[in-house]
Amino acid sequence: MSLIALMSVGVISLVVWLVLVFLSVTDGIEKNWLKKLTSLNAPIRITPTEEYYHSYYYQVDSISNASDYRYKSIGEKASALLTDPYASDEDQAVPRRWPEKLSNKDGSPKDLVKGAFGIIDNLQLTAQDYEVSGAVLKLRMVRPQGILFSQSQERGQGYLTQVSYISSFTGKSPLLPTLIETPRMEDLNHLFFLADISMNGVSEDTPEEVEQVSVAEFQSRLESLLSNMEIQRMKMTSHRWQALAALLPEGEEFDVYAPIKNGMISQIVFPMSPKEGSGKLKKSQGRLHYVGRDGSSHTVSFSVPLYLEGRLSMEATLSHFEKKGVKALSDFRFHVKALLQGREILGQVPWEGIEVEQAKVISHFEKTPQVMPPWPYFIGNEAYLPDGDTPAVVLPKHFQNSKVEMGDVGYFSYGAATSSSVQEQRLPVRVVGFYDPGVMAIGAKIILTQPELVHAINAASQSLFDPNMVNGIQVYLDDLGSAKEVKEQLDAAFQKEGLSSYWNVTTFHEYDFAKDLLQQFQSDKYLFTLIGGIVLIVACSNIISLLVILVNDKKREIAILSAMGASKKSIALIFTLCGGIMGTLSTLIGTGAAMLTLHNIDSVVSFLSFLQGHDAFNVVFYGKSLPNQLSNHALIFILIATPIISLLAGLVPAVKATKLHPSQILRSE
Amino acid sequence: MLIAKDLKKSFFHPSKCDILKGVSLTVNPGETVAIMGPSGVGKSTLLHILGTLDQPSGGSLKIAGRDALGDQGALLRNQHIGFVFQNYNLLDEYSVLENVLMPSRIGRLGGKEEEAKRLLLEVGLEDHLHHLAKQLSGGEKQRAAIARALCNNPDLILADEPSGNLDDTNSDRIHDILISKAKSLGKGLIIVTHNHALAKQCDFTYNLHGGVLELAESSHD
Repeated sequence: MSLIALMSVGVISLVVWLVLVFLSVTDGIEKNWLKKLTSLNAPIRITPTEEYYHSYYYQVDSISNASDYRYKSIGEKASALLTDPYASDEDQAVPRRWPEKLSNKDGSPKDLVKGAFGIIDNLQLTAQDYEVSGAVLKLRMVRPQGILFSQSQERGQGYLTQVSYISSFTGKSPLLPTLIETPRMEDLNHLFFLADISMNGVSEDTPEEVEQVSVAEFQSRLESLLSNMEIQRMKMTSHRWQALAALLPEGEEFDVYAPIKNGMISQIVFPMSPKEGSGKLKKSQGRLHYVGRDGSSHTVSFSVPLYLEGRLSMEATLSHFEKKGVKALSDFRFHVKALLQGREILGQVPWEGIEVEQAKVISHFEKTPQVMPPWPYFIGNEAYLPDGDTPAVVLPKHFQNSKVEMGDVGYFSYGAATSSSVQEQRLPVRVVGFYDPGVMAIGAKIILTQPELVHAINAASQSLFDPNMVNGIQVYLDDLGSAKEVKEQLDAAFQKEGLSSYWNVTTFHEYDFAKDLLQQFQSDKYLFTLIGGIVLIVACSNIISLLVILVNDKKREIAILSAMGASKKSIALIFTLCGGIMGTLSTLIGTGAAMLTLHNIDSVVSFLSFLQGHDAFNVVFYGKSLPNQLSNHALIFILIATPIISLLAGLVPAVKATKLHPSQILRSE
Repeated sequence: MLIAKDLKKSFFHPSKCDILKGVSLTVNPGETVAIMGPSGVGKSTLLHILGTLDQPSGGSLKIAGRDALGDQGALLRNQHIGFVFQNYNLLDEYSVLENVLMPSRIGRLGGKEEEAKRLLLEVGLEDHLHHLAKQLSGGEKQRAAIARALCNNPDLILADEPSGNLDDTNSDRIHDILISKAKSLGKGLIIVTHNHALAKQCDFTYNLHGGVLELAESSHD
């Protein structure tokens, strides 16, 4: 009986564990997605209404010399010196159909944008203007074209074209640091590879020969890279590495294969671990000597290629260098230390035939760094794009699947409307990083770049986009739950200031691109909870069978207790409590196990991936690791549902126990 | 203390059978009553009805002045009735002392431990207090059952063939204890038995015959 009880508790614990882990992980994933959704698009958006675009305030820039006869974006309006740039003596007359000028009580012109930002400041909210545009991105991807087993660094180039949305990089978003990906090692190596390649001709149609930059430019690029990273490990780029000769310790023998042709050694191949080869290689007085198993002895010339069966990974420290003396990567020296055939080899090697395997990348600074990194960086909580001649773009991380790497250059192509035609314009850009767009369908197509660039494209191709869609103010919140409340405060403040007809305040619940997703999240949550509840009921029904068996087994004892005056109610209570206690015990065990599992979720995922032979969870959707926080929603559900269902399950046998006839039982005994 | 009037009991399966056709019985404090009759005549049924373990088909029953056929059966059993069964019906997994204390625990009456120990001493089980009930012999079990029946200081003791499973020596001892306890403590005692010697020790002996109780012998005569 106790074994069955133990099994019942085990089964319910298992279900509690399963439901808790499942609901917690899905809840966590949903929260992550929501966070990504709102970090890229902010939980609250304030967008201008039609009335704003028809207002004198907006239109006046198009007839004012002071504004260069050009409509201004919200960002430009916010930083403009003059609210009303119109000068009647030099600008054309204001068309009659235009609405009236808006004025404050004191007669000064009313500034709709600064007024909106004033309200936002008063409410102590973090906000930034944003702009969205569209263009075709064409990337030129210069890649090394090495031949296997060679050290030559031929360069080839390929192209990648994608129609994209372009959004301004809003550095004030508090969640941006979690979205921007740290440069990968292949990105760093690519940046070093591109360090001497010129951007010239990137906007041209016909592929140009890859040009090299000046030494000064090369040096400043390397400085930008090396000042903001610490190289910790290097590895060989191919199997051949001539510098190995310098690292071999004097007098020690290494197993090697050495094919001999016409009495000469044609190459030396080192196994990674001690292994019987064709002979031994020993360095003596700076020269390599080979002794074959047949007893033959050869001195190895330095020109004989040295190969390794694997790629050696080594601890590396960059030696001190003078910036001015560096003309190529091979001018750098590393102190390296590695294990070859179980023996330590160390020494100094040039940056040739090796690449970065592990490095610490610095992207967070307390104050403006002396040398800016070539990737997005953070000063305090605000994110910045690296400066440069070529505007920087941050791509959604799925571009990595197309082998796009940091440092790749290209251009935005867009149509600029002239009086008679639409002409293609090209703006060169440089990939400085990647970000995680989350799960939004549209997210994968949004490229983040400098606001000026977005506005330049919008200004040229203004008629192509709905102005309401392209320009606005994003408001960032620490707590997503307060979005609706903050919206109400903003609405009230705009109303009070007489700005409500010019601005629309929307929360992320209303975003067109997010609405469906959010509704899906909600129904998923209900569905998963329902499934969890059903599984829980099935598991708890175990209690019914167990306790019915118990009632049958303990008939005599029940009858004795009844004869001694135990009421039906108290007998029923025994079995109901039994169910409740089993449920509570299972809840505690299951919750403990779930907490333990969530704490070690990465190991569990690795194990699952190992079993499946591929990644159990796609990084693109779920991020690098699954959420490991116990969901409150799931915990409350389990803590309430399990004991109640168990208690109800206990009621069935309890009723059965009260229906027993003690008289009959005692007589039959 | 116990007043039963016109108690009837019928069974309907497999066919209708009137086992009790109107049994009336009065038991006063300190009175001992033996009910005899052939097997299957309904003695135990009558005893269970008198002890509120079973419901009659008709008639009335009052115990300690209260109607015993309502929903207060459990309370009456706990406070006013002590049972002694032929097959002892102790809880095997509990100690002797715990078995004796069980009625007071059910009635949530504290401070009964000394009383229970005294009763066990009186029935000669002082050395078995902490033994499990299943470890006792038949005679010991029945003595423990008598101690249990007395623990809550009931008004009425109902014994269903208390020595049916015991040898003569143990039977005599059990009879002595039951009768003497009932007399000395002023409890009503109803014993269902086949044992004439035991019946003779009782104040009244009834025969259950044809569903009716007939007075066979009375010490008051």
